[in-house]
Amino acid sequence: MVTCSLRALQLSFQIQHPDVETMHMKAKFARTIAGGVAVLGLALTLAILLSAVPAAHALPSYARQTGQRCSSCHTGGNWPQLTPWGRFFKLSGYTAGKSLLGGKDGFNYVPVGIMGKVGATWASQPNNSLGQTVVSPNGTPEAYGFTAEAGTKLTDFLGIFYEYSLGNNFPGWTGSTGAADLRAVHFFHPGGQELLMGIDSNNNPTVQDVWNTVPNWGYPFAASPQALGGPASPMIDNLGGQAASVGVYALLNRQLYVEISEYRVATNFFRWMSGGTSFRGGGGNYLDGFNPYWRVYWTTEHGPNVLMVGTFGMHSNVYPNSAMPAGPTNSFTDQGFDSQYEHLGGSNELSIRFTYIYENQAWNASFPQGGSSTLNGNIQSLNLNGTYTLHDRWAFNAGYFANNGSNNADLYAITSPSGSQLTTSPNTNGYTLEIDRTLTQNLKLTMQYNGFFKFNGLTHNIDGMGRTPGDNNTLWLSMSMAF
Amino acid sequence: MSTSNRFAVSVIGGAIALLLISPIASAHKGRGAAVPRIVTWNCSGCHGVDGNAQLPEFPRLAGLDAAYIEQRMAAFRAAPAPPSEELFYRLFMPAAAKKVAASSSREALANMVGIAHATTLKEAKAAAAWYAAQKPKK
Repeated sequence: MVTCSLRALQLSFQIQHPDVETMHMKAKFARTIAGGVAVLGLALTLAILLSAVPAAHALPSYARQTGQRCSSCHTGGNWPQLTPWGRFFKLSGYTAGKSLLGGKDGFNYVPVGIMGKVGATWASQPNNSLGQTVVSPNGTPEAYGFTAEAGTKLTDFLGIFYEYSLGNNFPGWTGSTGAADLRAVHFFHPGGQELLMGIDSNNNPTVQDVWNTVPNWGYPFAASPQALGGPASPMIDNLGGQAASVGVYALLNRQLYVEISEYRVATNFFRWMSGGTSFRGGGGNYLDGFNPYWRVYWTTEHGPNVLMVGTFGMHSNVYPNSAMPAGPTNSFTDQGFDSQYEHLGGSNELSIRFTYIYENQAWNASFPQGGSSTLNGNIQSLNLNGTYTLHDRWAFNAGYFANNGSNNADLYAITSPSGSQLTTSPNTNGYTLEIDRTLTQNLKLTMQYNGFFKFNGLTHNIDGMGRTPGDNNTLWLSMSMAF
Repeated sequence: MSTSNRFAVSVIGGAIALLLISPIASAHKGRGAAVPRIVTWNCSGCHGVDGNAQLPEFPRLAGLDAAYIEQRMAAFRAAPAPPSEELFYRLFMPAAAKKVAASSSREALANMVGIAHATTLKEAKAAAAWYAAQKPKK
């Protein structure tokens, strides 16, 4: 890994010869540096303006609502990992803390916050053997995205979490809805038990979950949009910002959680949950009708140890072309199994997470139309990772991932320049290493290394020109701000 | 069955199923309608409904003297809230940051301060009485 990192760094700083090309590169480098500084300056200015709002003692909005530090809800301050209190805060509808309205100023706090991310990505080999770009821009400072969030308790029984992001697509920027989660909750006490029941509406299967094993909140918690990834992932991980749900959940004695939800495409009344998704452009996953989602988990605490075992899943019917939502659909059934162990308390905290998802695919629409070479298929997604946090300042993360599946010549084929088919397999596995340094609770530095053992079912010559899976490895340095 | 009907049946069926599972759990002492709202919705998230917190970083409140709990809550309420805009205090208002740090005890920097500021005296009194009445576990 170190060798690859050094090689990537060397590639990014090969601008030492004073020729014309070098001057252009230096000028470009200077522009990107200036751009990064300008972006950071804008973020700081906005944050200063927000910090001047009366009665604003904490940001983002939930910190202002509860008056607590980020580390109350996020393990070791390393968001988005949740502590037991953070999980309870979410399940109880984001309702702890002050009411939004009231006080001498009319508002007790400002229920919005902003977040931003800047950094740079280096690929082990940013170009292929023909000199064509694979990862671009390589090693230059970039702004990755900015998110405005509105999260607040609305009443004693109702709370909301909503994000809207401007993201860098390399090239171009687009705005889109991030997480949207609206929930109403109440406690019941049947037969001396405690039963928390809630009604939830959200825009992404698993965004409503409180564990960091599910796709939406799993490790790596953030990744460079420039980093390369395998070609296949379960449908349950590909509906964010395109679906809308209504569901009910219950937490019995804070141990047993059961949820049933139904998802439909986020159009018409739910369009506010899918801002930025162009269904008519054919770029979305357009759900047909209502699609069931389920979640069950059991958790227990013994001293500093917390254990959770659970299962989740979804059956979804998706039109092959979101621009023409009619006719037959492809069907996907995802069954997930997950477990999380935490050792909490004190200045050293450890989390270990396991997730396995098996997806059954029925290409009922794509197969007859020539969009899939097989009628049936499957995907198996495995993630095993852990995080060790120290003094709410450092977080050391490591994870192994594997996304395997059945061969499909229409979906996963790679051909060499000579025209020979190299693979039809989606099998991709590797690892992600990450170190986070939380400077203040508003500011976090991240160094992440993403490495591959296998890419598209191949361990060597993945493009027919001698490229190896390791050539797709990336190093990502980033700075995250939240105010 | 139409998709709309299937949706309605699923949601209603799920709600009924969730209500039916409640008897399967063992009895949990200290849980019931008599629990003060502030305990159920706030305090219990860390200290537990019965005040016997499992995680070592959260003090066990079960059986503590009510006056003592009220006194601690008053101290939390009186302490200045730690600045969440930590970065800006450090960069642009270092004198204010030092002042807050100097006036804040260790407990004032803990997470109780913020939540105590969001709690009324009546709620604090109710929580103190509830936890004082709970039986501490070994």
